[in-house]
Amino acid sequence: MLKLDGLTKTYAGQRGVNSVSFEVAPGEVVGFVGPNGAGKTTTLRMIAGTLEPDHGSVHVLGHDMWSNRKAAQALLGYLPEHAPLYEDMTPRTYLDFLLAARGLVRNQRTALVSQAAKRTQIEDVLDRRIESLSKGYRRRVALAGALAHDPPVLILDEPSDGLDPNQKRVTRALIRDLSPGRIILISTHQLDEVATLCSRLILIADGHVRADQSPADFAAQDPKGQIEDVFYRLTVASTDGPEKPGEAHI
Amino acid sequence: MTAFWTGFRALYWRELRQDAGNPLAYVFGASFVSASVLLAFQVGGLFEAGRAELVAFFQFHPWLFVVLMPALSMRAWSDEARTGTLETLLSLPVPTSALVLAKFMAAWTLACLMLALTTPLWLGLSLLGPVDHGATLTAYLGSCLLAGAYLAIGMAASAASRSQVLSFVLALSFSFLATAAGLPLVGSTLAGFLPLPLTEALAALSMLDAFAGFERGVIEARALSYFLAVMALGLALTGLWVDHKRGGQA
Repeated sequence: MLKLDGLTKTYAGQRGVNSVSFEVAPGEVVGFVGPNGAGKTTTLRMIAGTLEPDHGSVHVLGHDMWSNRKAAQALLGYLPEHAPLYEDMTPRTYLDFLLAARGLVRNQRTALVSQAAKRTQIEDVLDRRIESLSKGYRRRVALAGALAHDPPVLILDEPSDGLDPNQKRVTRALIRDLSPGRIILISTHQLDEVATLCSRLILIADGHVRADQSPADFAAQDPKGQIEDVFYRLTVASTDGPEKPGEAHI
Repeated sequence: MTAFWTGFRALYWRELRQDAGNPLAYVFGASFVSASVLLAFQVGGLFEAGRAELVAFFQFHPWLFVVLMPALSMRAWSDEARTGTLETLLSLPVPTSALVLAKFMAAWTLACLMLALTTPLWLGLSLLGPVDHGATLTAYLGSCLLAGAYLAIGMAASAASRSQVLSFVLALSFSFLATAAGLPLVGSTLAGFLPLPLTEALAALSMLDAFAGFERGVIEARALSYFLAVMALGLALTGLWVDHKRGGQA
């Protein structure tokens, strides 16, 4: 179980995330949606252990992120916003580095790199420098980095951003394949992705959870079943609001 | 192996490989070797002294390091923060101390390799006359420690800012102050408006003062402790800055 309890983060006196609580069970694929600056990335960073909350807690399969961070982070695969990568490395050396830092031995690393490359379809660019790769490949390399160690919990910040329709299709299929037995939390702006991929939708706006239900139930709030219209109605107060400080990067 | 050592080892080798593939590292190496040898002959009068000793060579190291070590360390953390890869590093189940030490040790290894490139001067001089090898080795050890102290200052400056330029300027300023405090001219100027004990204390805390014994081939416990303390302080500050980012501060 991934459990968030009263997660709160304040930036310069402004509440970035305000008492966010929810639980995600293994096998669930949760779409975490909201307008820009709503607190999605801040929440994901607190779950991943790269940002400390002011209040509240995150438990990853029973491990508290802030009192037992190493154990909790060992269970997580995290794709950060904008999919940052080391430009000077090749996908192979990058994935190997991440796995080595997680304490895996060479034989395990070789097998896991091949498995992640196959899953994300980057086998043909494994030995090319990352700086020479297209945006789609780079995104997939970053995704491979998140899932290379085969974690039971995946936290993905806009995994299909920058991918062409075919690549999006492949990525969604991959997430679907990975979902049995895993906890997957996806932050995205693409509501169609949530509708087709996720078993549950959590809407956050102004740092508060505004909805937590199945995409079908969410869409059913609109007479025409338009998920975008429900999203608009629930978030219009905060849409186009200013980006919160610290939302974008460390 | 513990999370500390696996994380340390993975990042240490990543940093070294990055430096090995970076033309700037070779430019720094060539600049250091040529500048130190040129200064030793042209300004220090290595031949004119008529003695087979390298004091004229080592005496310029503090001033060369004031510029070179900030240049070598400026990217270490600022680049990670600017490109977003710090988010990836912080999501690994590795203690911050391992990350800080790995980056420092990799940069220090490179600095010591740069120093090793000047050993032909030592060997050449030993062909011309009797060289005190013990004293020369001690001076090299002192130079390594000196480089480590400047690098630790540079690492802290790099962690404090996302801008490489600002990191460089910060490290250069602090390194210069820590060096120039030992100059008689600076001491007498400071004595004009600071109490004498404070002026003397500042001079005693200078890198020049600590390095002087090593230059003469003497290992002083006080100087050794000084360099180790500067390194420990620099790395502790770096760790604090990195954890500060985890706390959500810029």
